[in-house]
Amino acid sequence: MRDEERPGARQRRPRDIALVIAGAVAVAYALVGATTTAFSGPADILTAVPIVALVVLVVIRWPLHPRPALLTEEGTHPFRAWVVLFAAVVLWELAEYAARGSRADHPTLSSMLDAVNRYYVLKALIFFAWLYLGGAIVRRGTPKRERTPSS
Amino acid sequence: MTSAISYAVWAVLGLALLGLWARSYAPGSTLARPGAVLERLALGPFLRIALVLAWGWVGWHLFAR
Repeated sequence: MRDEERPGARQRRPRDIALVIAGAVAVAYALVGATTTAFSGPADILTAVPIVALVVLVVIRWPLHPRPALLTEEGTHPFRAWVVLFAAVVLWELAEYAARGSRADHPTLSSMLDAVNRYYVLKALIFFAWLYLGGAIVRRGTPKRERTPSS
Repeated sequence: MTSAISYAVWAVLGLALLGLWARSYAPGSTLARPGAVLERLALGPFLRIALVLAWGWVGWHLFAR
């Protein structure tokens, strides 16, 4: 069976195109965003635009009263390990932040990412990951019937 | 020496993250996948506010400050 004969193939194609366009825009935006220097006007603007866009999308697309899907089976704890890991990361971050001594001796997530951000390609990758995560946040909070890949 | 311990702990936490990620995709795993974790946060009445604020703060802190 050819691809265009498969059920849903016609609906998928515009979505695929939208996904590719959204991805290309995010890559281009990350490449431009990575050229900016912190504490500068362009950095402020290029960081603020996605934040404002996400807040607008969240207000438009997310339901006012969300109903969490029943994701857990009885007797299982699918989120426990993630919560424990998150708590461990937060505790270690706080311990390192509060420790006496230089930041080089007690690196935090921020200081390690600052070091990575000195390299253009790595900064662009992190910027893209941040944008991707923002898109995923909007999509995951949107009711499933309204989801599109571009959101 | 101090920094070696710090980096070692960060490395362990990073490996634990990758391990959980991989385990969540294993056949028959009851561990939630990262997307499901994000969905749970995005659908929580208070957690979703914290999630959006945290995402915005991380971006501002990393790229603008």
